[in-house]
Amino acid sequence: MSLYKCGNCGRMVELGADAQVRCPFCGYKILYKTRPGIIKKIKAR
Amino acid sequence: MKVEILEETDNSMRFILSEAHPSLANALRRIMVSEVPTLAIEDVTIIENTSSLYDEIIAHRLGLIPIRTDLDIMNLREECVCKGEGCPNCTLKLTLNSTGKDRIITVYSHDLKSEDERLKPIEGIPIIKLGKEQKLVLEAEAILGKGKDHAKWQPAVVGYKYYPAIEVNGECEDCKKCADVCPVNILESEDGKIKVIDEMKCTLCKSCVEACEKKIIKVRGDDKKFIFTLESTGALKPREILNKACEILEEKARELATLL
Repeated sequence: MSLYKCGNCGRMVELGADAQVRCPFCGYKILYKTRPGIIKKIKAR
Repeated sequence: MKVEILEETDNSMRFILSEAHPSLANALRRIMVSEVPTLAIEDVTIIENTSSLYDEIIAHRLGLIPIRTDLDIMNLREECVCKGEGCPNCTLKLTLNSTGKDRIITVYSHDLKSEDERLKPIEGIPIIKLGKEQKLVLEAEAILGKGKDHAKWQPAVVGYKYYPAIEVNGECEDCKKCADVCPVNILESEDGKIKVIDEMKCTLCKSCVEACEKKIIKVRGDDKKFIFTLESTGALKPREILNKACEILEEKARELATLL
């Protein structure tokens, strides 16, 4: 499961691996993948 | 070795090092630049970043922010009691939590919250601009390090020059060529005599030597006396940097003596 943002209505959409790429609220077919909530560690160099 | 301070402000200092040798002056300079430890951010944990910059760029910017350091309360990680694992004696934790408002906001270094009141980032350095609905949440760990590992740990920029020695021997024709040609205007010629107004300003360019037709001016650098210019990043006071550098040089000399 990962979180997408609808390119039309802007609502957050959660889709599974085998789900159809389509916003369930407005039917728009362009979805933007959002940043996963994984904490990232980096060296400040 | 003698030190005479000419001028001193919060983050810069000029001093004369006399009764010294070029090798000593350079050793002191190199230690001040690359061996005096300071605090700098080393590890960054990005929890949320919806800003316009990549995590790596933000981390790099954070690393370069000078942090006011107190060498009495912080240890180098490898010399710490925790043996490099990281504890409050060698690690300073900082947090940042900023959200963009309706108008664009700028996140500054003083928005970083330090866990220790005595060790705080230098104020007024912009980190990033955040627009509407943009958010930056992160944690950072600052550790002591040395300039030779990374320039972010460099406490100051230091330079020195030889103390100018201007000699006039012989009869002057009062042609005023030397005074005209001097780029820092420190020579004055009056009634057949050359007067040096402020010899410290001399850049040792030797234009006056070339201009003088009778070849009576001699300019050389005194290799026992040096004019140092030190500009601190703000992490340590100039005086602290000089004192610490001298301590380190002494320690190095002692170490060499035991090895011989």
